[in-house]
Amino acid sequence: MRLGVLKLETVQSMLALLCSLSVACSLNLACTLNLGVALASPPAGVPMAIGTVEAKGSFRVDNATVAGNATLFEGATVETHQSTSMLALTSGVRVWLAADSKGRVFRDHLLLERGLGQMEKADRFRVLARGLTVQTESTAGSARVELAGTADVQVAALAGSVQVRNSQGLLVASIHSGSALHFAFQASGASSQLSGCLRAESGHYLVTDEVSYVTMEAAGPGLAKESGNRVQVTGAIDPSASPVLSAMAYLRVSGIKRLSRGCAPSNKPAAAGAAGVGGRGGSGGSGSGAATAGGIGALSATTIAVIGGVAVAAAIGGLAASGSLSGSAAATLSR
Amino acid sequence: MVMSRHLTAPARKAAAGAVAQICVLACVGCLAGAAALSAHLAYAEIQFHRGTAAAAEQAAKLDRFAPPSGYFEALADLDPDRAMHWLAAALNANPRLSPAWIAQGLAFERDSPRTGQFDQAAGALLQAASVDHQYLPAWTLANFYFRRAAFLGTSAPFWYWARRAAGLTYDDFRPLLALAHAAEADPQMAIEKLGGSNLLLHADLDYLSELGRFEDAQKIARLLLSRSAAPGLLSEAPRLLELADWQIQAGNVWYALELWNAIAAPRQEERLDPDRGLALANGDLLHAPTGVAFDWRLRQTEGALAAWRPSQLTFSLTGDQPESCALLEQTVPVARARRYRLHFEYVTAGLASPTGIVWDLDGDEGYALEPAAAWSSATAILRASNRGRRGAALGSLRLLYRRQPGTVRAQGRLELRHLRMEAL
Repeated sequence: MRLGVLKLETVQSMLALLCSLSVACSLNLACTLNLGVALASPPAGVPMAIGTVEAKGSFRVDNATVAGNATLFEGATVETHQSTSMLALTSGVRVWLAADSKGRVFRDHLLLERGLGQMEKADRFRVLARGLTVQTESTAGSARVELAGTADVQVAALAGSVQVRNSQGLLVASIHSGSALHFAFQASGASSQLSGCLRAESGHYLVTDEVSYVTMEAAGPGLAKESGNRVQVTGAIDPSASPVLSAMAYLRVSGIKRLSRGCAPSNKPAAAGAAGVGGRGGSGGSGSGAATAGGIGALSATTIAVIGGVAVAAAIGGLAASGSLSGSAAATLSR
Repeated sequence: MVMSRHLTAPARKAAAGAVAQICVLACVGCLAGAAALSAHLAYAEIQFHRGTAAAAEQAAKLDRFAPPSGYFEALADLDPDRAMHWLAAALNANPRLSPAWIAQGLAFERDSPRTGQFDQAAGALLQAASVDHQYLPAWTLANFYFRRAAFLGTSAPFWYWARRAAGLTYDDFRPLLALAHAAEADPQMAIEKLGGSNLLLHADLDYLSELGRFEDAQKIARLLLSRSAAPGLLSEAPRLLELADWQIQAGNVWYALELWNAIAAPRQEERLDPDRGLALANGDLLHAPTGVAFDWRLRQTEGALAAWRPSQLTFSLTGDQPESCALLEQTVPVARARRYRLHFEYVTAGLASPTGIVWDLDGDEGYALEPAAAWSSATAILRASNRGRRGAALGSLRLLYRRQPGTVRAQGRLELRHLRMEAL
């Protein structure tokens, strides 16, 4: 800012400037005399602000209508109207709440209750949405989370990889940058289902799902003869068993189905393909998962994984269809 | 002119024609220029409304002689990485653009942990306040200095701007009240620092009640009461009695009594005091039951109609009333497990014995009323509940109707007056 353009046009602005200068110079007495309010040391027990929230126009914080901007406290509920709000946390994290969205914001996470949220520079920050926890893997990562329909969640990795975990903390998807996945909750006790290349490593069988990029150690009959093939395995996760280091969970396989002989031709990640970022991909997936993942049956054209009670599929339309922060600048598009 | 005098008529005519032609050409040129400029600006406007950063930037370039500040404001949104550059351009185009000053100040503050530009942030926000004397700059500065208070070692700037904002608020006081209460634990002090207008007190009373902070709300209520020489005539009486209702629901007997005695029972003899056994309000029925706080609540039930006239209540049972229903109720401040005698006068018409009408205090019932053709005095001995901790409690005194076994639902009328309750 150029101080040269400052014009002290009113008594109030002079007082204000005097006050700020006196603050800067610790001339508290002058401020007291001018303003007629008692100066005090910082009040004990004053809650620390965790950041600010800004928007064009009004929005709501803790059910109160606020104009322009406000201070955020731990656990504040922010609800947007027609324009996007930007939440700037003191940690450096930026969270955007799209128009007509709602969420509770904490120092280290956002509990998304409605609409769409996007986190940027999200170092150790999480977005919680319908029991899923979304977190970027890198400090400069960026992700978009949208509550889809009445029970689903859509997550897009805008920059860097994004991890999605279920309410038990089990990794249900690792989304690569530029991809978007759709999550739907399954009935309790639903079997897990992964599709991908089955490979043997040091006597252990591993399968990395093509959609969710989750690797599990598989155990059960019939695995040896399918090793090296692209398969679909179904089974139950055994939380009591310890998987090998490179696997996230231990899957007791109850069914195995060969999708294609060998792994190489169709091993392109479905998620990246559907997202329109990683090339073709996606189409190689089998539609057979649709029956299991009833919650997202509409996505039967793509491979569907079911992990830890959550069905995961590439979002149709990919990143472009993963919602947007429309409304952020709309309010200013006028002369 | 000198020359024209020597020109022949045809020559003069030709010269005039030439001048006219030049004028026409000049006009056409001007119009064409204006049309071209209009088209140019229109194209810039179209570009701008495409809503992308590149298009808006192009619009600003097309309109480079006097680009509207709105272009740059939009660019600050559309191109966040260069927001500061665009905001500076917007302010260069229009230094009185307070939203841009505010946006710049907040951006400086956001970057301050890295750049230490808090002074620039304050400067931009103060500039916004100097060009715009409305609510938003004051509110923004109040927030800014609230966040900076711990670092500055003083909350004085916060209170200055919060007070300014309070004077300019036209809508919802709650965000400002939330900040004020966060900065100052004493609610009375917080309100005084904000300016202490009655409007603020009202808003704060509602705000604190909504949050369930009844102790703080009571302090604000006291402040409101202290400003009135005649509390009973307070225009705020309904609001304060509503708070008394909240206090009753929260089980805060003494807070509720304090408000009730100040507002609804200004005369000493009308005051409620459970320690002295004074538990019944509006016993003489001089006022119409309001249903608020410690006043009578008339239960309007189908088939059981209640009507008040000065000093008297009338209940009409049509025979269509439920088999069991409450006709009248009052929340009474009582001592736990203490016995009370309720005195009253009544008369009935058309009610057969047994009437099924009985007084009840916290589930302890008296005897059913007998039919009385003329005004009769009667009493009911009732014991307050001993539930909960020792000390004053809130009891529920009710007049109930219950159909008696072997009878049909009662039909007739009951009139009540001169109610009084004493501790035994």
